Amino acid sequence: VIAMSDQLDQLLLRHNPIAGLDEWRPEQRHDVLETVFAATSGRRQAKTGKVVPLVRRGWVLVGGVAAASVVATVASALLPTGAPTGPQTASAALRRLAALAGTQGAAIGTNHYVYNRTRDEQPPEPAADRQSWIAANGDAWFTQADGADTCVDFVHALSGGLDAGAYEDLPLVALSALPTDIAELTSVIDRHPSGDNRGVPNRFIAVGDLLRSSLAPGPLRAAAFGVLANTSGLILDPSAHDGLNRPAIKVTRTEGEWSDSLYLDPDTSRVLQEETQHNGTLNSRAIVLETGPVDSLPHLPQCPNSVVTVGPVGPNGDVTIIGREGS
Amino acid sequence: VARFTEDERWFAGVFGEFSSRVYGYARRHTDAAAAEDVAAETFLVGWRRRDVLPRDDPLPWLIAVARNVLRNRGRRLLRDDQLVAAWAAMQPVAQGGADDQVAERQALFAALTTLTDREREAVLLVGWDGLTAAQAGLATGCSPKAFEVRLARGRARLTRALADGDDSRRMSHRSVIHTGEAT
Repeated sequence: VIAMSDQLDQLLLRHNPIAGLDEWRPEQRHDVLETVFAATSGRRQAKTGKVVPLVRRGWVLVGGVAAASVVATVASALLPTGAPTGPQTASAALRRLAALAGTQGAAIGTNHYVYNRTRDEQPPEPAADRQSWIAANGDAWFTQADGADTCVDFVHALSGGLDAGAYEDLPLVALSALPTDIAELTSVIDRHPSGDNRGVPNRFIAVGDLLRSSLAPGPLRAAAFGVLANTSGLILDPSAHDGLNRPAIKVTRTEGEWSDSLYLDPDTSRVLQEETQHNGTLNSRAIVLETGPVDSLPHLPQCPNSVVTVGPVGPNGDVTIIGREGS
Repeated sequence: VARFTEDERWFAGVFGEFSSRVYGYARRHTDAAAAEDVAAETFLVGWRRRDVLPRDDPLPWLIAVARNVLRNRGRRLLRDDQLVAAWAAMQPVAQGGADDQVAERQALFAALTTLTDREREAVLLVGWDGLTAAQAGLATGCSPKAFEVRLARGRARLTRALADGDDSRRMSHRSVIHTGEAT
């Protein structure tokens, strides 16, 4: 895995189109800096060169607020919305969800799809509804905005998903092969981490992926809740409400300035919402609006399937785009 | 130099150290003239918001602003086909030469189109823009943990796509590059 990772890094480095760019000449940069200072203070004028355009108030706010939210350093205590329950009660609540999950096998056939509609929010960007159709083999179709219209984009299943720690992307057959014994599932998760995440954070991610995956069979989802119940450091709020004011059991894991929460339906154990907070402020959330099996794909146009045609390769490896279709 | 206030001296240092990185990030998404504008606007925001610009590590903050400026200028530029076209058009300024290198590069670009937008952004912020995963997480406004997940999935999908080569399924669904004469 390490060798493959190194090879990928080297490949990306070899073909980095911005490596060694020196298009922005030093004198131009100097003029920009002069103009930046002058634009604010009014006591210095740019000598020559490009004039920084007057900035529309809108994007200054958008850019500024977004960046400020990224780097906010105010340390505030992260408090759950309700009084946290004791470990035994939390564990009992998760085991009750496990029992619910174990009775719900939502496996789909080869000609069926799991449909999901979510509302993705990441302030200050506007909320966006997103629909997806997941096939049993893990292939997925996602809606995308195409100007004023909506089209469907296709994404292949991620082969080798378990090696990448991508439990969310596993096909039904791979999910069905995962152990439903809690200790064994914990061991699998620990041995197949997601990125550089390890230990408790990795378990929380993997369980979230498994619970989010509409393809995960009931017994596997039950085991995932078992893993969660055995995971230390979680805060459970049994009387929370999600972004649609639906009653929910909220499970939160905090690390430094960041916290991640799963909102679970107390009646079905389904994931209602996932949320990330930064310094106690909403960073992003995905609210599940609708989910269930369907037997067909949507009657929406496929997103533009453009073909970029490039000219003959030049002596220095340069290519020129000479035609494009379909976009 | 004596004309500068202490704030201006500090900001000039930030500009000197990071303007090429911000420009490079912008250039990866747009043409040279627009990239200059994006970089200039980014530093204008940085100067106006210098009260919140992190002194210890300003790059993620600057990239976050540049990212927003780019988005406000034209989201459609970020579509797969346009990205690939833009990168292909940048080849004269990239390294390369031998035919096998060109083929490798085109295979990489084609493989990159198989990633989701978020996965591709994660892979390239680290692989091309040189940000650490922690910095890139800040730049994209997501938690370090979530960014690690996104990055790992993107790298896994990219590795798989490269291994699969010129997959006929991908050709039927995603952007592809053909080399040859115009039709």
